[in-house]
Amino acid sequence: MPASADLRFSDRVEEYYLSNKLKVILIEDKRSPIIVSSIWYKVGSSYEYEGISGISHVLEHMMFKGTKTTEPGEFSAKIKKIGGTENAFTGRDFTGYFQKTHKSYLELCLKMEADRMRNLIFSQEEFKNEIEVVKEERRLRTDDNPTAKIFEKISNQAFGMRGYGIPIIGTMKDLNRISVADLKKWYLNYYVPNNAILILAGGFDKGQAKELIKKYYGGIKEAKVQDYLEKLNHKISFKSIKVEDKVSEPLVLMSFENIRFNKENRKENYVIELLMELMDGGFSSRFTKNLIDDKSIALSTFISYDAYSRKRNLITIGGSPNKNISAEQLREALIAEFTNLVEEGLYENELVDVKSRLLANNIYKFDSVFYQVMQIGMLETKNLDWSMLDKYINEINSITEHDLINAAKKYILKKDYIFSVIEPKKL
Amino acid sequence: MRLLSLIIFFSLICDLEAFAFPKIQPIKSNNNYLLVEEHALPIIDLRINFNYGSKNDLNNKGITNLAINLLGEQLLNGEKIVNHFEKIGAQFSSTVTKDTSYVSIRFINNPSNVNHIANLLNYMFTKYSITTKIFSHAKELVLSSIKARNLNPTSLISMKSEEKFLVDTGYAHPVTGYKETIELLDLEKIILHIQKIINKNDIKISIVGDIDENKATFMISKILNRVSNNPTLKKKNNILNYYSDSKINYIYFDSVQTHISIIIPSVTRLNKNYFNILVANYIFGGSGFGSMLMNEIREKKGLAYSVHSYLMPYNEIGLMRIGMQTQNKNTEKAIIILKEQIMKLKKAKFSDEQINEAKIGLLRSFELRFDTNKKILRTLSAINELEIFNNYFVNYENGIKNVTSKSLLSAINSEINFDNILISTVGMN
Repeated sequence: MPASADLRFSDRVEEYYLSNKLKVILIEDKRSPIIVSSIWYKVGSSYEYEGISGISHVLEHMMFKGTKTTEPGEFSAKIKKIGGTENAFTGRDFTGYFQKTHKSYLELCLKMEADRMRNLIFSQEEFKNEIEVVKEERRLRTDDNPTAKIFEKISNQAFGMRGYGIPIIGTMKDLNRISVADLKKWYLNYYVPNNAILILAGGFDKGQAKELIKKYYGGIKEAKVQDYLEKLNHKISFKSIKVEDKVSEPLVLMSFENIRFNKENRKENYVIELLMELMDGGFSSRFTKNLIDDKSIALSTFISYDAYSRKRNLITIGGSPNKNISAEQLREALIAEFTNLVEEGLYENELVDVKSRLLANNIYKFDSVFYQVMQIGMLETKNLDWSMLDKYINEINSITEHDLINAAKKYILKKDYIFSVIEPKKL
Repeated sequence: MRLLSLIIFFSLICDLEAFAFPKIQPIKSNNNYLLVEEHALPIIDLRINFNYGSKNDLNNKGITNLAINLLGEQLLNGEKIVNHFEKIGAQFSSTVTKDTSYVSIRFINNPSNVNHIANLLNYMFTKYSITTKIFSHAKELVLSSIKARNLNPTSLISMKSEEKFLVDTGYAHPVTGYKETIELLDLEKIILHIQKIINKNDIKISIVGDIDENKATFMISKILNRVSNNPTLKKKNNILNYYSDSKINYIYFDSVQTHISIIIPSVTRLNKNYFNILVANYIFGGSGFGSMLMNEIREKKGLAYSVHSYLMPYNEIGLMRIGMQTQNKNTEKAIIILKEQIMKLKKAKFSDEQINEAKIGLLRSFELRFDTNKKILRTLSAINELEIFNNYFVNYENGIKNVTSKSLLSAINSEINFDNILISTVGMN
């Protein structure tokens, strides 16, 4: 893998702060004349609480409804007219907005984005309509989706209506309760320069970009950000969940509590990442090779988790059993894969192969300017430094068999977990 | 206003001339093998296209999909070929559509990888080393996906509406086939089918990335070494047999939302009026926020999170499809609005300003489409399949530029039969 060492974010990234503490990250990538201009706010569902769950996401929708100087929909219309694309996304730890356009439209993007950082208008009429759109989104993504529904249930049981237990889209009850006043309060508190990161990537002119950023964002005042969360100790419950729903095969899920990511324990997090890759990262991983191909126990398997968690989180391991195999048998077989690793160690070349896969993936990520923005934004909004991305390869290369065995014991085999099953509903 | 919009349009068109599109070169003058060199990253993306889609399944509906899925599952030295790819960090995938099928691979460029990947692909296309166990598992997976499809309203409405609209054509059945047809397949039938599909004369190869023409030629010759040379597949010309009875095709499904699909006969990609219809669709529902459908359904009424129209230009039959979801009680209201908007599309009373804005939007977004190797490969492979690589970028731009309100109205009148539409719903109606 000789080329991997040549691709580094530090060769293309410059970061600095404006006097109002807005963090600016410039990623130069001149392969095409395209730019991705984005702003990330450090607020998402994990900042919310019961009664206003989903508010960060509803605010994201309202950000397209006009400012003191623009009409509702005008932002989108202007980007569309220049052939650009724009959108927004809400996560558990961030809310982000981006425009992808030809580099000659950088000023338009910065001007309009800076404008809606402070000048949003909250029209009751627009809200009344948009909240219905959000409810339709919830019906589409969650209420009619058996897998999304069970993940929501598991997270809620694990963490309650706090942190990562809050559904990003919000509960229907709270969507019916959120008001324009709530949204305004949320916006004024979190949408300030000192709580935001501006990430610009692509083929822009750096000098011009810096001037424009200062011109449009430099005048916005910083403000104190209040944390609305009250301390609440929720004890995780490991009670099993069994439901019937519209699935073609039973779906088995085991959810283990995972550590949050921080600079001090990053090595441990990378070990967990490599362990999960080893188990279910591809066609040649243990779950596929042993449980699907050789023993025909599973029809499919999966592992779902967020490698960079700001708060306590879950690793969910699961799959669908093959014909004549029970959910219980699949559960045992999945756990047995971790036991086998602990007792018998790695297969020949297994560690080399899985590292090759991760290292190659790390190079492929540079193909997309947008994906470079996403990687950095998702770290920075969790107060993690983008420069970690350049250390990733060395960190992965330093992981040993011993590290993987210890992680398998510590995070899977010695841990209790929430066992859930969706059985096919008789229709 | 009209003059102003024309001035803006032409000033933007002048800008467009300066844009550098990817340079497509036929490899060693063979138009079946196309290359775009991109040396900024040490990555090679390759797609091998077989002139065989699910429309060619005949009675064995789903056979092409199962056969292509099994290509990477073949054994070499006791391990699946896909595992050999993964060992060097290569990403392999296979895809079947109604018109075509292909395998794609992405890998890091170095001399040993180029050689290794070429040898593995050659093995894949010449040995047919599939065990009964692997075949049975692949079959089980397809049967399970068929079961899942019937429980997913998005898949269900797509399948049911196309079955009805494309009746008695090769396009009517879903790519994955049906439980009854898949159960009848055995390994022998699959291997015979693979032998038909893997035909050197019909294969098209598209390559993007850190590779030059000589190396690409070497790679292709290795991949296709001893691959069988059969007569080119004869094209069967599918034509639309659907006649609307004006009834809504209601399909009961226990869900909180109803999915609505409307299919309208439209144009194929090679139709002379394709660009007129593309501009019309952009204004109607193909461009997200600001489109007629989005304004009426989402922005004014809050009836749906997403509503859109898009062209589905199969090689032999073209469709325009409208899709949305809304809570069950709003279904009728939504259908009334969709019908009103379709009537507006039929009249095509678009202003010059609307048309020019759509043209600029389409031209500008066309430029932005080629910012990753993956996206370049997707386009390269599509134009390779349709054999339209000569002056592709110029032709696309001219096609859009030449659209006028008159040509658009004329295209809508001549190409779209608004009396022959199919409305389907999946939900609790």
